[in-house]
Amino acid sequence: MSGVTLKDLVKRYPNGFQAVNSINLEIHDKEFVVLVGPSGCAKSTTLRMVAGLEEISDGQILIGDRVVNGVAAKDRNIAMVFQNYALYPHMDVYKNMAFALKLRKFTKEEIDKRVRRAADILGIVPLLERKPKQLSGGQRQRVAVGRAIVREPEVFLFDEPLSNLDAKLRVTMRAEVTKLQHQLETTMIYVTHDQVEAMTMGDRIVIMKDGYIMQVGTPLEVYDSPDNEFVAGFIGSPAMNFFRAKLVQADGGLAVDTGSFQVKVPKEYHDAYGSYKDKDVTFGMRPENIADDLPEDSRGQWEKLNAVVRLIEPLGAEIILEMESGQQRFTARVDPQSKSRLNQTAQVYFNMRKMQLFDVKTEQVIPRR
Amino acid sequence: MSDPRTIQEIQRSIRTKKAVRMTVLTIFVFTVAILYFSPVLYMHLSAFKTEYDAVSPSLFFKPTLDTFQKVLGDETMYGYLKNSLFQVFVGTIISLLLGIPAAFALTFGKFKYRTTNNKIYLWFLTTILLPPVAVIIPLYTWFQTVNLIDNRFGLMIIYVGFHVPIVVWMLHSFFSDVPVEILEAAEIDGCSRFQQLTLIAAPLVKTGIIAAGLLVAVFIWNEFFLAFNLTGNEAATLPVYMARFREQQGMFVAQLSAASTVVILPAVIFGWISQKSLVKGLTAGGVKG
Amino acid sequence: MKHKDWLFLIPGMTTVAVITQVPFLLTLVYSTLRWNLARPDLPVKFYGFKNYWYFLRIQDWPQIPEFYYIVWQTVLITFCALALCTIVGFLLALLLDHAIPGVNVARTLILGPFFVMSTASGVIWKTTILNTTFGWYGVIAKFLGFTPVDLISYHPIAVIVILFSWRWMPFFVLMMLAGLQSIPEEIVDSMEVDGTNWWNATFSVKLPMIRKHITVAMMLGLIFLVKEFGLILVTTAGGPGTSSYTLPYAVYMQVFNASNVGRAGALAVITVILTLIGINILYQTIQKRSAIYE
Repeated sequence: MSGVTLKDLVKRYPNGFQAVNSINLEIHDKEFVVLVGPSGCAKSTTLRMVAGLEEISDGQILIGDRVVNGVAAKDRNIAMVFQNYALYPHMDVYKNMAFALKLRKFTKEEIDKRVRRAADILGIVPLLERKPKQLSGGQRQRVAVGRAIVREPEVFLFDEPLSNLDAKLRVTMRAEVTKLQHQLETTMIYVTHDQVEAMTMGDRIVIMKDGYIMQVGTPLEVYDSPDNEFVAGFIGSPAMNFFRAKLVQADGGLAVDTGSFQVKVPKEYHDAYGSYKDKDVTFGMRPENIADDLPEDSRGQWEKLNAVVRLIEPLGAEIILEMESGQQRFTARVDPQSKSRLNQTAQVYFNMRKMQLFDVKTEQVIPRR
Repeated sequence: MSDPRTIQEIQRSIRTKKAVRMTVLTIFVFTVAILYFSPVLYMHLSAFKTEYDAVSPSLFFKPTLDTFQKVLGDETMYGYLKNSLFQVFVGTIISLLLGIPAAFALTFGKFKYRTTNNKIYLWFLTTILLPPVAVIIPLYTWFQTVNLIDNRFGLMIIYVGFHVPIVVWMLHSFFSDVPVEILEAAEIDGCSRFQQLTLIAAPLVKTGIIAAGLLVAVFIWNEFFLAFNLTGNEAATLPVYMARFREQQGMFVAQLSAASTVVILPAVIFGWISQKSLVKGLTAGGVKG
Repeated sequence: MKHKDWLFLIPGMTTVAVITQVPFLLTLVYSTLRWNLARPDLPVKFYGFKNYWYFLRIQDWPQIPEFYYIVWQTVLITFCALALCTIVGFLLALLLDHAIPGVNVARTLILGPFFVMSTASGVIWKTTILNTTFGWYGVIAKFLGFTPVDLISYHPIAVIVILFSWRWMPFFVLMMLAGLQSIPEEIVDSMEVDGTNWWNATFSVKLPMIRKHITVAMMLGLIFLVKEFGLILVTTAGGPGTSSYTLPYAVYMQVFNASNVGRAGALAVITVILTLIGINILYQTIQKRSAIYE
C-alpha cells in the first residue's frame, strides 16, 4: 500500500527560520491530494521533503509503511515532475524517458515497452526522436510527465507543473492530468498556488499558510465549510467578502450589523450563534451568493439592502459588480442579464442561508451547527 | 523648405553615405588590426625567406621553404618540442580531471554552511593571483632535494597545481548555467552524485570544458618562468628554447622566424578556436564574482 | 551526499594548496633565514628581519638603496602599461564593436599577441623591429632621415612598457569588447532615437555600463603585468645595469645569480605585499570613480 504519512514534520533552516511547522497529514493510497496556498506557505518545501530533495529537520515521513527519513531520493520509489520540466537537454525524448530505467539496469525490451506505453498514453509517440529544445512548452511538460510514468512509482509528486503554460493550455492539461491519475491508480501529491486548479483536480485539498496546514478536506468541504477566515478567503474566486460587524438582537432574532446595513440571521442558526450576541464578529458572504434581482430560489433566505454600483466587469457568462453601501464595499457575481447601472443605487440580496461568521480574534469560523 | 530631390534620390544618397561610411570604417579597422598583429605577421612572412633576404626588412622577396626545412630538421628543437607537447597534453588532462569535479562541487555542493562554496571558490581565485616569483625559491630548493630539477614530471605537477584554479574558475561559470532541477531530476531518476556529474552536468558544459582545456593548454605551452628556472637540458620546453635564441642563434633571422612560427602557431590557433567560450568563461565568471 | 561533494573537491584543493600555498609559506620562512647557496661555509640560521632590512634600509642619505629604484621602476612600468592597456584597449574595443564584414577576422588578429609566448614576442621585437640596423625601426628611421637610437639601451623602460602593453592589451580588449557587446540593443536604439552624439554615447553611457568588465580586466591585467618576466629577460635583461629591473626580475636574480635564498625570499614577500597593496589601491580607485557614475 502506498499512502504517504507526514508526522509532526518540521523544516528548520540554519538561520533558525522554521518553514514547516510540525504538520500532520495522512494521504491514502491512490488518492489525488493537492497542496495549495500562497507563495511562501512551504508547500513546495513539504513536497521536496517527501521527495528526498530537502532534509527533514524533525518528524517523520512514511511512504507506505516505510519511514523514509534519511533514505536517498532515488531509493524512495517516487517520481517527480518539476515546474520547469527539468528535461535533460542533451538527450532526445526517448532517452529522457528511458534514463531512469537504464540506471536501474532494466532490459532494453522492458525499457522500450514502458517508454512506448507512456508515450502512447500522453500522445507524444511522434516526438520520441526530438530534443527538448525542439518541443513546445506543452510537449515538454508531457515528456516530463512521461518520464515520471515509466518509473511506475508508488507516489507521483507534481510541483506546479502547469504554471509555465499559457492559460488555455492549462485548462486542457488540468483535465488530462486528472484523467491520467485515475487511469494509473497511483497516489499523487500535487502542489499549486492556483486555487481553481486545486478545486477542479484534487480528491482532497490541503490548504497551507506560512508552514501550517489551515484545512484539509474535499473541494466541496473547504468551499462550503471553511475552518477559518484564511481558507474562506483563499478558496473561491472572486474571494469571499468580509465585513467587520456586530451580532445584534433585532426583531425577535439575531442580525448582523455592519454599521452601514443590517441583515437578519436565519432562525436555524440562532442557537449556534447565540453565544456571540452583542459581540464583534467578521461576517463573510460569497459574491455568488449576492444577487441584484430577487431570484426565485426558495432555498435561499434573501435579505435586501441598498448599494451603489461602483464598477461593472462583464465576463460574458457573468458580471462582477463592485458595490458600495455606506462604508462597506463588496463584490457581487450576478447574471449577465443584470440591469444594474454604474453609480446608480440598486437593490441587492444576500443569501443569508450561506452566511459565515468568524471570531474576530482567532479568525476561526463560528460553526453554524 | 522641402528637398527638391525625389524620394528615390534621397534614399540612394543615404545608402551610399552608409556604404561609404562602412567601407571607410572597415578599412580603418583592418588597418589597425593588421598593424597591431604585424610583428607576428611579418615574422611568419620572414620564415619563408632565405637568410640573405631576411636580414634587412622587406616585404617583397622570393619565398622558399628551405629555412623551414632547416629548422624542422634541426634535432635540438625536437627535444624541446617533445617536452612542450608532454607538458601540454598531460598537464591539461590532469588539470581538467582535478578541476572539473572541484568546480562541480563548488557550484552544486550542499555543505554545512552555505558560504562554504563561495569561500572555497574565492580561495581558488586567489591562487591565480599568486606570482610564481613568490614560490619559485622553495620549489627550486625542494626540487633540488628530491632530485626533480630538470624532470618532466616535476614540472608537470607544478603546472597542474597552477592551472587547476583556472579550470575551476572557468567551469564554475558554465556549471552555474545548468539548472539545479535537472540534477534533482537525475537524482530522483537514480543518479549517484558522480553520475550526476558524468552523465548529466559534464555533457551540458562540453563547450566550457573544451574552452578551459584550450586555455590551459595555451598557458602551459607559453609558460616560461617556471620552465626556465626548474629545468635544464632534459626537460626544457619551447619557451626556454626561444629564450636561448637571444644568446645562440644571433642574427639568423629567417631561422628565428621559422622556428618562432612553428613554436607559436599551435597556441595562436588554439586561442582563436576557443575565443568565444573564453569570453563567456572569463566575463561571466569574472563579472559575477 | 555531502561526503561525495568533499571528495570531489579534495584532490583539486590538495594539489593546489601543496603547490601554491605551501611554498609561499616556505618563502615566508626562508625570508627570515640567512641562507646563501653559494656560501656553504655560512650555516643557515635564523635572521629575523635582517633580510628585509638589507633592502629597505636607507644608510647614506641622500643615496637611496637600489631596492627603491627597483620598486619605482616596477610601479612605473606596471602603471604605464596598465593605463595604456586600459585606454587604448578601450578604444580598440570600441572599434571592434561594429558589425562590419569580417569583424571576426579583425578581432582574431588583434587577439593574436595574447597567445604568443612572451619570449618569442620579445625575440621578435628585438631582432626584427627594434634593431637599429636590421629592424623596421632602424629602416624607417633612416628613411625619415634621423639616426635611430638604440631604444633598448637608452629607453629600456619605455620599450618594456610598450612590449608589455602590446602583449597584454588583447586581453583587455577581449574583456571590454565582451562588455560592449552585452549592452542591450534597446539602449543603443534609444540613444539613436534621442540623437545622442558619439562622445556622450561612449563616455556617458557605454563606459559606465561596462564598469564591471573594465574592473575585472584591470584587476586581472594588473596581475598578468606584474608576473611578466620573459619579455624582460629576452629584451633588456633588466639593463642596462639594473635600470629596467622589476621586482620579479630582481627576485630571479637574487636566487639564480646571487644564490641568496634568504634575501630572495624577503624580496619575494615584499613583492607580494606590494602587489596586494597595488590591487587594493586599484580596486578602491575604480570604486570611487564608478561612484561618480551612480
